[in-house]
Amino acid sequence: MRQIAISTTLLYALWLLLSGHYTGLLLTLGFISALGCSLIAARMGVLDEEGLPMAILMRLPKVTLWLIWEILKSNWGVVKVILNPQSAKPQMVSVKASQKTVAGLVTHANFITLTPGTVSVDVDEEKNVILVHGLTDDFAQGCLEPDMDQKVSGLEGK
Amino acid sequence: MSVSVLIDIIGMVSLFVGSLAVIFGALGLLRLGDVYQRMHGTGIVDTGGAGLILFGLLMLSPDWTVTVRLILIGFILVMTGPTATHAIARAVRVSGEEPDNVKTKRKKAVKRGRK
Repeated sequence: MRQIAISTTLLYALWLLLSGHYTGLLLTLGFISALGCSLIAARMGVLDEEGLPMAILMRLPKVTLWLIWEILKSNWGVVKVILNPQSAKPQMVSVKASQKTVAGLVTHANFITLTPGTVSVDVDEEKNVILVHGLTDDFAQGCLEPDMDQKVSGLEGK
Repeated sequence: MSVSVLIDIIGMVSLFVGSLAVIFGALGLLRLGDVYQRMHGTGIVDTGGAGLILFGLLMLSPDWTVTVRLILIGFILVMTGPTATHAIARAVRVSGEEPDNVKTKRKKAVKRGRK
């Protein structure tokens, strides 16, 4: 029930922002379609903690600035490697993840892929290990540092 | 110098830097070694390129409806980009392709074995 309410609110807010029509009839119709979508999603069984991870979404803005800074730094690092391809020392590393939920683990893997120079190749749900391909030693070792892991675990709030 | 001119300049500069990032990403796609390495090149296009271009457009956007749409585009790109990259990486790994450094190590080991 709570999930349906949250999802309807989000969808209706999105509709309000994008439609640009603010007459009584259209506002009502918009709400009905938002509610209908949420009900269908609930019937499909995708409106759970995994499909709508509110805990993570709410805390996301806190790490955004840090993530943007990391991305800009490693963008510069990858550009340097591209200008001198011989300096690439690709390697695979296994990163231990401390996240307790699947949504948290996916967020961690996505953050790793989002940072240029590192791509998460495989995620092991049972062992909580992410296999990461790093472009150079620096990128791969940077991934092993607990910095990002702790930040993402903080997002879960559990 | 008024604030709006300053914002325009910031927008144009980030559009320019973002375009440079896209060019570098494409260059990386062409120059780097194996499939895994080339994916890092596209990583720049996904983040630095798209991000800076969107930021530049945000600075230059004429009214709030455009701003909302740009922010939404950024959010969707951030959510889908890594997923697509991960799908490619995983497909490459499942199909049995190994990174270059593993291959060279194996070749060396085979050579040593022959001696």
